[in-house]
Amino acid sequence: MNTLVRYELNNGVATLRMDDGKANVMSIAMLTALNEALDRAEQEAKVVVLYGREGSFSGGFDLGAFKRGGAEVTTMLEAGLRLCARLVKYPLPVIAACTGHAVALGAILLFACDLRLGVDVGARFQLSEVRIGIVIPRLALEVCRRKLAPAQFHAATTLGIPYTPASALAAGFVDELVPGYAMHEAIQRHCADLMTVNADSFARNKRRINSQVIEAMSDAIEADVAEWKAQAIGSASS
Amino acid sequence: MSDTVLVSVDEGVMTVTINRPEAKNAINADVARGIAAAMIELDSNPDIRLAILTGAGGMFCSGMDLKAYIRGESPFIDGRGFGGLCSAPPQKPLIAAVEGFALAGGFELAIACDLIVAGEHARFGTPEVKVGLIAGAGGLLRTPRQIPQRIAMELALTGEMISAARAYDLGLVNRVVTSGGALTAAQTLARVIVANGPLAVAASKKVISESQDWLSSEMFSQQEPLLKAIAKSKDAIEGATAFAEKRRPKWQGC
Repeated sequence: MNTLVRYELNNGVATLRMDDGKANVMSIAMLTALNEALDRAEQEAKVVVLYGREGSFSGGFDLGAFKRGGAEVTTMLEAGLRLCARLVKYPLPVIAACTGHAVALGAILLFACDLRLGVDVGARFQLSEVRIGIVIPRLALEVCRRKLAPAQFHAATTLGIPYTPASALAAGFVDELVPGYAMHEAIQRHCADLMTVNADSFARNKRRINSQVIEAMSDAIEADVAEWKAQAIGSASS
Repeated sequence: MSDTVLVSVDEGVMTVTINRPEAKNAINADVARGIAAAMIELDSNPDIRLAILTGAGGMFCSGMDLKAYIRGESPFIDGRGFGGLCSAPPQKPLIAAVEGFALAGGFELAIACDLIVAGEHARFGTPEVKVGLIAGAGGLLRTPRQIPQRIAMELALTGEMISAARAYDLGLVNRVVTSGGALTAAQTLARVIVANGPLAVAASKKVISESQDWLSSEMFSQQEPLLKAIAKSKDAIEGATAFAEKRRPKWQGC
């Protein structure tokens, strides 16, 4: 389980490298590992970097879990959404190193981070839920609304259209594009910059700026969980 | 040698730093000699694969040192041209890491390089016409080959500066990074190039540089000797073998 997220602490920067060897799906194991790493970083780091693997930041929820069904599904959904909420409320700056594809929950995670760097070629950004028969959870929409450009919001969510790195930059999935070979250098530069921001000032500003989203997420997760539970009961009895 | 040009080598990458920040890194005879010596070392030392040219103090180069010129010092080196570089660039790749101003002779040094990485506040231009001179160190010769003619004409006739962002849009600059990050970005780029076959990199530069003068009807036959030399090299076999064996190649440079 530990190997899904490799944790490195260097001069106050905690780098969380997600690597499941394939698409970095958000399985219960991956979500647990991420939360453990975030727990650690909160105690000992000043900046957090959420790093994808070559070719993939995250492909979203583990579709295998959906196929298997059962209580596991709701557990995974809730854990994934709560992780996004956690990142929005997280007191340290979180930088996403989007090294490849960011799909469904993978893209929503990007919207939950403070600064997003993306590779300039070879990555697909997509809120694909509508195309795979999932209704985007309410909490996820609140997180998307934070950064997804208003003009793109409907097309991105309702139509689930795929974005290239360049169009993803314009739509707000990422804040900056870099060549793949320069990701490490760019991340280091931003970490050095964010290390100069007073920790308390950052945490309090982030909290205030996100206060509406935080409130909306709180209402949303209740409705989402209630809906999943109702569906589970419904499918169990059918 | 004086310290107006600092030269260091790290893992096959040479960094040449124009070190006269108090004079906005203006080129005098000493600087020209220093750059020339570095270029000779670059091309003759098989352990050095590539060089980065940059300026100290957050400034690339403001051009010829006019005061020195009036005193009789020449910033031209026999056979090598302005700054010891502009008329005879090296065989091996050269990356300019530009912060602040690359003006006049400084602009001409930058465009004599193969690649340019710029800090976002960098500015490029050839203001010579404003003082009744012309950009004779390649500013008029190279620019229209590197950016569209109309824009090259605008730069030359107005003498006005353009931003790093505009230079990027024109294809004059390969990458723009936050201010202060140009040297690091150049080093990152250098590492990618140095990982590649040495003969292949040098031959690629040679073909791109020289083919500008080749006729369309002759360009493939002109390229043939270089192509043959690469195809016969040990490194070509090593490259293909390493690819098949899914490992990193071990270059020998032959």
